[in-house]
Amino acid sequence: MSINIKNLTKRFGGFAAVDGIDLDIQSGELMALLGPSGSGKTTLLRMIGGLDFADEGTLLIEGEDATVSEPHARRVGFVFQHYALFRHMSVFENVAFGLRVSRRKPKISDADIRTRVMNLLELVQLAPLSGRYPNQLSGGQRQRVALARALATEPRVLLLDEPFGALDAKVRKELRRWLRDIHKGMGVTTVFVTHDQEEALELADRVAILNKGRIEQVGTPAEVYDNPASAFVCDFLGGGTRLDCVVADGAAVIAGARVPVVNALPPAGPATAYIRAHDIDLAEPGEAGTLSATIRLIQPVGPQLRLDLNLDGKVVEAVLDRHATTTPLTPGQTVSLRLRRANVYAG
Amino acid sequence: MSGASGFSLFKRRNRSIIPGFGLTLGITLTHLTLIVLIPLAALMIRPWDIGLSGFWHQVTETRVLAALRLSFGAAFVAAAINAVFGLAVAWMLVRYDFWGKRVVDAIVDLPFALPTAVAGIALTSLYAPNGWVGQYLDPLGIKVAYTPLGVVVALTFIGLPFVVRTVQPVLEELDTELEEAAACLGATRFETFIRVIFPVIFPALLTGFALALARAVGEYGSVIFIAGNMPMVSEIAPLLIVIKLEQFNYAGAASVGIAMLILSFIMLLVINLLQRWSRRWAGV
Repeated sequence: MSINIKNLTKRFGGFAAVDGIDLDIQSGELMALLGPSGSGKTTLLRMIGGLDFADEGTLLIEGEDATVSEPHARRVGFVFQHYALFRHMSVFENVAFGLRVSRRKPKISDADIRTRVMNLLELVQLAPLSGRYPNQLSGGQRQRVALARALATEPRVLLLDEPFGALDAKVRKELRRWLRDIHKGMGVTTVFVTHDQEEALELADRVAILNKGRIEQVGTPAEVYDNPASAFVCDFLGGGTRLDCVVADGAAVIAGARVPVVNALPPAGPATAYIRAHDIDLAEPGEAGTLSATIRLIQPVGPQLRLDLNLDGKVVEAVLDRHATTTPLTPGQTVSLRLRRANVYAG
Repeated sequence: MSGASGFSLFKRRNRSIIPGFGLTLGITLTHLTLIVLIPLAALMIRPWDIGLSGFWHQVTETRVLAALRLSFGAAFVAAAINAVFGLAVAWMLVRYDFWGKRVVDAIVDLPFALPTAVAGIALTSLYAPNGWVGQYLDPLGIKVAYTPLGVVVALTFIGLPFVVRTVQPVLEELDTELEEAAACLGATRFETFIRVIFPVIFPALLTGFALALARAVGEYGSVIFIAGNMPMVSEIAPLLIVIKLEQFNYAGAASVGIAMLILSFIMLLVINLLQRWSRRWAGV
């Protein structure tokens, strides 16, 4: 179900946590709200869920005004970072909770509740653990119970607040894939909050990047990664090394070398260039358009070779393919770099 | 040399990183023995001077039975009142910010600090038929001072801090996300309290109830002033023990003491089992 947010503002004291946000979320979309802590992403999510209320602006869910309606009236499912499971209830009772509450009309028979809960537990692969209590489960299992509980009431919108934030890397990866599958299967409009750019880019149909209570950019993962609208977005999405440059003749000139610019070119003059670690190649010494740098540190990480380079006193990070790099490298060695492309912003 | 160091290494491997188990166990046992077990043992031995039938005769005396009934009954009622209102006080102190909150928080502990006799005298003068509160209750036919109701009032006064202080930390730890989750799932405020909050604080409430109850059963100082101490009506068991002691009936006093001990033990055991059952979700 579509969500339309217009000029939404929320202040805590004098501080605007969410500052006039406009955002349209399409029906069935998987949307990520990405930003550093304090950017207002969780407050925005809580306002969509009805856990916080806006000071200004409007929020439409499926065309209906939901700015001030109660959470249950919005029919949203909310998944909390720390699960918020009812620890005195079994897994089964946790999932069944939303089906047993008195506001639920018409009442569902116990037999129907049983089938629905067991179907959901089947879906999250926890059916054999239905009799356990939350503190007998691992973090990943708890989060899956929380998701099943949120889905039990057949919400129009599923909201997840840093759903994988408290989990270890391997479980996080598994759950991501699995959330994607569930979203595909059920098609419920889903909004999740994360500060992990990799998670947002990997999982979402579209990503909204927030900074200081405002939206910096909204787009598909490829759009925002390839064409960051601002220096902040570029920096936040793994912008790489920041270097001073001069914009001239349709390119950025960095320490005398011309580097092609990917994004909309700012006006000629001094500017800031971001070079991603993957966009740096080693070149033959003395080749035209290359820069000379010394190696400070070499770190093989899995298939990659990570280099810390010293370029005129600035530290530049480069990532090479470990198996494609045949020339022997040692710390202290001087090498030639070719910068393949840069994102350049005025100022 | 090498053998000795090998031995100490072997011992080290079996040691827990948390130090002092032997020391603390020793202190605990010594302390409990000196302070609790030896006096209780003396109490247990005493009445056998008069034999089992003598003991039975002492505790089934109608005056003793009436005193025991009053002591335990009033203590139970007072603890139940405290459970309800103590929960409300704790809830207010944890959930809301208001002017004078620190003062209210401090007042809760006063019954701990006040000499119980002072509390008893103060309550008596308040609830006596010509007292500040009593003068308005008297025309309604409600007599507090010098009746079992007065006993309940005194026991409620001394028991309040137990419930507040045991429930408060649990309420403070209660995650507001639980309530938000319940609200999202469609639960009303009432349902959220009954089904989500109450089960979590219930074990602590039970602990507070048990502490208030135990304290009230043994209470003496505040009650004897307000109770009027009429045999069969408003005479509590601890007072009866003192009376028997004054009459040099040591075996009789010890018999009543043992009866109270056994009843208290059974009561606390039941509460303990109930508590374990109410926390069955916490164990693995």
